[in-house]
Formats: sequence, C-alpha cells, structure tokens
Amino acid sequence: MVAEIIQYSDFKMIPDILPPESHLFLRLQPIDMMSQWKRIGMVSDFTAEFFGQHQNLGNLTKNSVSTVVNELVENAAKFAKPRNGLIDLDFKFYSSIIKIEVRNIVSDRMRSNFELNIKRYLTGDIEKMYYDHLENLVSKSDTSGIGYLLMYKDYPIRFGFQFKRLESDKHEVTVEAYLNIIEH
Amino acid sequence: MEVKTEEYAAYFDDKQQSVIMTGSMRLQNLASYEEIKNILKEGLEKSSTQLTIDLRNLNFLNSSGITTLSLFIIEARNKKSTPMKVIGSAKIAWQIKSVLNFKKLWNDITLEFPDKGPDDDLPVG
Repeated sequence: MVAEIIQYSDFKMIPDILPPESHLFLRLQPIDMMSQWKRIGMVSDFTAEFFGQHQNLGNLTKNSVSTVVNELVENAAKFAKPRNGLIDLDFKFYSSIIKIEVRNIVSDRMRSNFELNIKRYLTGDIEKMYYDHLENLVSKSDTSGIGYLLMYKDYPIRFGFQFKRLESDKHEVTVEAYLNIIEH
Repeated sequence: MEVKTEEYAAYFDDKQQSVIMTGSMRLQNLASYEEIKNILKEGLEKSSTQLTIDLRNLNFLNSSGITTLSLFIIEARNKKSTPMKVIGSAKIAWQIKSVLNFKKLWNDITLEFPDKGPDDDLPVG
C-alpha cells in the first residue's frame, strides 16, 4: 500500500539535493522530553550555539534560533505519541537560512487538529488570529496554543508541512521551518 | 512571594513597585506558570500608582510564558487596574518581537527599552 502523503505551504522549498554549509541531526524521545522538560531548552540553546559558533551569528540571531527551535520541539514533544516513535530534528544551514526540520509520530486526533490549524494559518489573518486567540483564552484555562501563531507573526520564517499516514491512528508529521537569519 | 530556580527567578520588589523576571523561563504549560502569575497579581495589588514589569534580564520566555503575561495584561485591562510599564531589552530578540505585542493588548501600557541604541529599529510607546 502506498502511504497517503499530504503537503502544505513551502514544503521542500529548499530541495534535499542542495548541500548545506552545516548539518546537524538529533534524535529525541518524546517521553524523555516530557519528563525531562529542561532538555528541550538545552537542545535549543545548543543548536543556536552550534550554528552561531560556525557562522559567527550575533546574539540577536542566536536568541531567535533558540526561541524558534524551542517552540518547534516543545510542540513536537507535547503532541507526539509518547511511547511510540521518535522526534527527529534535522538542521541545515544555507548561508542566510537555517532549515529546521522536525518529524514526529502523532495520533488521528492530533493530526486532524494540527492540519485544521495549518489550514487556518494559511488562509486567515495571522495578526487577528493571534490577538483573538489570546482574548478568547481569558475565560478558559486551556493550553496556550499560541506557538505557531507567534512564530508566523513575529519571526521571518516560512513553513512547510507534510502528513504521512503510516497505519491506523499513526501518522508521521514533518514540519519544515525556514528561518531567515539575515532579517531580524 | 518569590520564585527562584537554577534557570529563572521572579519576585516583586515592593520599593520599586516592580515585578522582576530573570533567566530562561520555558515552563511546560500554562498551569506551570501559575506561581509566576500569582507574583504578577501580587505586584498589581500592591502597586498604588503603576506596576513595572522588568524583563531586561529575561533571556528566554516560551509561548506559554508569553501567553501568561498576555492574559495577565488582558485581565488587568478588563478590570481597569493600575497602569503598567514593561521594561525590556533591545538586545534580546524575543523581547524586540513579542514585548511590543503587549501594547496592542492594552494601549495604556508604557514600553521602555533603556538599552536601545541608534541602530535598533524599535518603535516604543
């Protein structure tokens, strides 16, 4: 059976065949990240330092890289199937862009929620959605749910998304974030 | 009230009528920020003229933390509470981007970036 694959937005904006200047690959376990939460911040800071050291990035850029990686990995850990699959992080540096690829395994429900949100982000007014979301949260004690809206709104990023159905209640989700490190 | 860990700290300075937040705050969810929110609430209650939120040494705040601060500001706005001032750093990327959003939640908030240089393109109100 051929796996069903759906892609959104700028997926593979930079094709895999283009060799990066720097490449870093990390593999994490969702359950480990959830129980040792501080490690997500450590991974984010390490990534920023890793690319910052080589490319001599300034502190402002390193702070942005760490912030974005942290948001992506927090989301990947929170919404992954905790005992099923891994979180793969694939970072590639291309002179003015860091491509951050995050892959995890999610359930039917998580895929459906995430896909719905992506469709909203791609067609709606991000600025309005951001503030409406916060105003609507006041009366709830819900999860924050602002991470992607914040990145879309405030950071020079282009996103690509891919959903691949593996088997019943098991989907591989790949998020590509192309962070422009020249623009602040 | 004070919170202090290896990664971050938050406390209310009675004399300066300021809530000071420092370090790297990347807590797991909104519930984990409850203690921080209580410090902010305490600050607002005890500040007679203006509450200052000093973020200058807060290197990181994740989206749950930004949501916590945003909800605190919206709640204060809705209650027509004491005015607020937020002091940030022009040298920390997340602050340049996200602190400005607070003013859009409540126009009466004053923003200050005391370390803003001539090359920092930062609208401050």
